[in-house]
Amino acid sequence: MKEKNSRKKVIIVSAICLIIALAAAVAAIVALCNRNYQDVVIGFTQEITVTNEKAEPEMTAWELPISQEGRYSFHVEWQVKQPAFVTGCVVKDEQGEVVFAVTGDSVIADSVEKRLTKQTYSVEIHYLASEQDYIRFVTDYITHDGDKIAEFELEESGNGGSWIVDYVIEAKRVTNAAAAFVFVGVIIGILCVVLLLALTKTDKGVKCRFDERQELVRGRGFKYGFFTLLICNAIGFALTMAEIPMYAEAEVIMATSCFLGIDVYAVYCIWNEGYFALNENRRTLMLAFAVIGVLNFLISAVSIAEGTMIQNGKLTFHSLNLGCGLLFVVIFVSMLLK
Amino acid sequence: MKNLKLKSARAALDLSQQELADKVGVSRQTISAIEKGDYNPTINLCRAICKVLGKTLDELFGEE
Repeated sequence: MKEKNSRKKVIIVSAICLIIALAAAVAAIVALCNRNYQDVVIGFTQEITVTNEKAEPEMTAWELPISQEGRYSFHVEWQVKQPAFVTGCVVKDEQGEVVFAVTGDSVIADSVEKRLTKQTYSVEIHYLASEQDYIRFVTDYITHDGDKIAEFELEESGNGGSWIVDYVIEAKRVTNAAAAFVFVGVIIGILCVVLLLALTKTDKGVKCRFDERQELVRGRGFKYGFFTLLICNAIGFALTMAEIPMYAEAEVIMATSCFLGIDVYAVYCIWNEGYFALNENRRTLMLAFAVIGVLNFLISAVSIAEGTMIQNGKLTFHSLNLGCGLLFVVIFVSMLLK
Repeated sequence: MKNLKLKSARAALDLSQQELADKVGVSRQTISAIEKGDYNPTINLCRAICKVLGKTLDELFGEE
């Protein structure tokens, strides 16, 4: 018996080491694939001359080639002393759709994360020396119907002049670190499952023992959970094909379908006394689920505080922790009620 | 249909549902479901219960 338990411990430890090794290998491969990618920077010096509220040049254009699809944040920077014009920067895709726009006499700013595809974007720098030009730019590229337009204000500028300005427009890739954190989160999740399997048994074993009735119940639970997942995915697919505006990104929709399927399976099994194995410590498992749920809620609270959970009116992958927390809380509450 | 024969046989030996379940190797809820008539056990489980209670298949699971 002791030898059997030792063997099981060795298997568990080996499994954990294997998972960590696999994670490290995948992270290394991802890093190697992204090794040669660099952020795209447009930096130039421009002389602008303003005479009678007219700037020369009125606009300059640049190309911003994106060679790898992913999440990017735009960083823009220019400093002008006592200008007679406002600079407007707009980034457009190949179809002419505005991706990012900002105005200001002197600006140092970072945009929210945006998903860019592999294509050459165009960057237009407009030099707006009159209120009419400013309002036209803001109306065309920045505001939506009903938005209030900020006032066209400049510091002391006089009637005109000439300025030499250094401009920096940068597209910074933000996916790598985020993807790595998501991957680490998944690995930690797998480790939690392995530890729960190993530590919640009353007979120091690893394998869960269910009786014949419980196996039937679990089979039905799996069926209902599977069809829930299928239906949710079908709904998401249909809405996407119908081009109905979605309020969450694709990965969030997919994960939500998974969470719903898991919840249906778990709640059905709990309600029909098929969730806990014969050799399982219920209290330890319930406590573990409560802790995992709370931890996920804490992580999602940080995302909400940082403003990364909702971007451009859509739920981002940062909301997955919230979904995970809800998943475990629903299961925990079902266990309590039963 | 409720299995009253099983319930009385269990009570005759002064066994709780949990105790009988532990001896047979199933959950208490399974024994409860069998007694209520909510679950029809397999022949193997029937034989295991009969062995623990010292009864025959017909005495516990035969038609009334």
